[in-house]
Amino acid sequence: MIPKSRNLVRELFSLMAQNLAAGGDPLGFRQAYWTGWAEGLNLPRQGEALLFTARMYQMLPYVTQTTKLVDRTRSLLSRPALATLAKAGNLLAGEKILRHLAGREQEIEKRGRNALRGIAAALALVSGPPAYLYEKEPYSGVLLHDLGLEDVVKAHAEKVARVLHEAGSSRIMATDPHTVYMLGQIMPGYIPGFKAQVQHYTEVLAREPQRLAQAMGPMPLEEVVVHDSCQMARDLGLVSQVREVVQALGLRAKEPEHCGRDTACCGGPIEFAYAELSDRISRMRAADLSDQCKNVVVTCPICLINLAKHEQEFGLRVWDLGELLNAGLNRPLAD
Amino acid sequence: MSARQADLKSALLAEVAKCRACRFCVDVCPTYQVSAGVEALSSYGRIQIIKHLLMGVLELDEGLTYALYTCLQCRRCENVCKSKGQNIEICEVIHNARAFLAPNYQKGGGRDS
Repeated sequence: MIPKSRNLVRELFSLMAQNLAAGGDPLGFRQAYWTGWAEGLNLPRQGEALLFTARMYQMLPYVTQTTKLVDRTRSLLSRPALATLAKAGNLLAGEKILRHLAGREQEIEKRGRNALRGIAAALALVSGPPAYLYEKEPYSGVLLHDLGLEDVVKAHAEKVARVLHEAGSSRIMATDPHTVYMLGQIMPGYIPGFKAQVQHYTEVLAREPQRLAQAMGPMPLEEVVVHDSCQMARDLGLVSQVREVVQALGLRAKEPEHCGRDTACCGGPIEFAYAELSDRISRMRAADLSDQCKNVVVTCPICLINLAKHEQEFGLRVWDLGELLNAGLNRPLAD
Repeated sequence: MSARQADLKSALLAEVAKCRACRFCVDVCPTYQVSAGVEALSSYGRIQIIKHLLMGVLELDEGLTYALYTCLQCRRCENVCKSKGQNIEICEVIHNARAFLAPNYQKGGGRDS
């Protein structure tokens, strides 16, 4: 049976636009929840090269809980009158509730934090300590763009462009492919004249594999199967870079049946509204990957949470590449 | 309809008209693969839905909304379309159709309300 969708989409659009205005991202929190991973790293606030997380890894525990809430309240959100009640009851939009529930997602929070610390350490090794904007760092707006909410995104894109202009960095090293795509290929369409030299961090690391290899400590595994994110492989054309970094870590890279430009999706992009369908797609991909190797490496936070849902069922461990960098450079694994 | 909306509609109709219905994109679509052969949940199905919505043959309902917003925008269909020489920007079409239809889902808008 096809799930009722019209009112669900309408309510989610309204909620996301409201949250973007309130907190600058789809969660809408007023307190900066995205800077904790950088504690103790003393990254400079300004510099030629900017490390840009766009809050993506930091959102993971909240995204997991928000998705569960949307799924639980789907029947309410599908009906106009009840949707208002659901929202008024803070079932969806309550910051305190979400923060409390996200506290249960300690494992994914730890993985996201370790991934960012590993990426920062690796970038510092090959190109010097990157700058980080801490509480000023904006979300890119990519999810709202994907949904076609162009008027909402335009206003947000102007804020993002202003923050990046004020930061004054000449290049941006983003930690996820969705942000690279948004800043590099989509933002100029919203902001005429906007031009940013933006790269995925693997592009920077792949230029210095020997330096990375020399500094790398022992890895907790010997081989991995590479899951290419759709955006990395098809939108950005980044396929070899992750493999070069994996090799520099001293690991053997295995390939699933569908890889590179023919990669298969993790199901993540529709998780916000259609968790059940998304889950079937991520399960199918996790099964394909597990045929090759029980250790999977990803370079996108969306792929990380979606494939990690099936770890138990297939005996998998899904590693973000940043976690492996962290294990090799900041050993022992930082908690 | 604003001039921008009219331009978007014309561009969308021109792009979907390029589809020769070879259906090679259907099998690689992840939502189709997990939906027991429902063609509306494939890239080809979505192209046809968009075409017929724009032409006024179909009206936006629950099922069509579900089909349009379950597209992952993964572009796997475009790889196949390109290899068959048609090269339709399928995900761009679906994205632009969402942008065209967005007022239906935003407060204060609503061609369907």
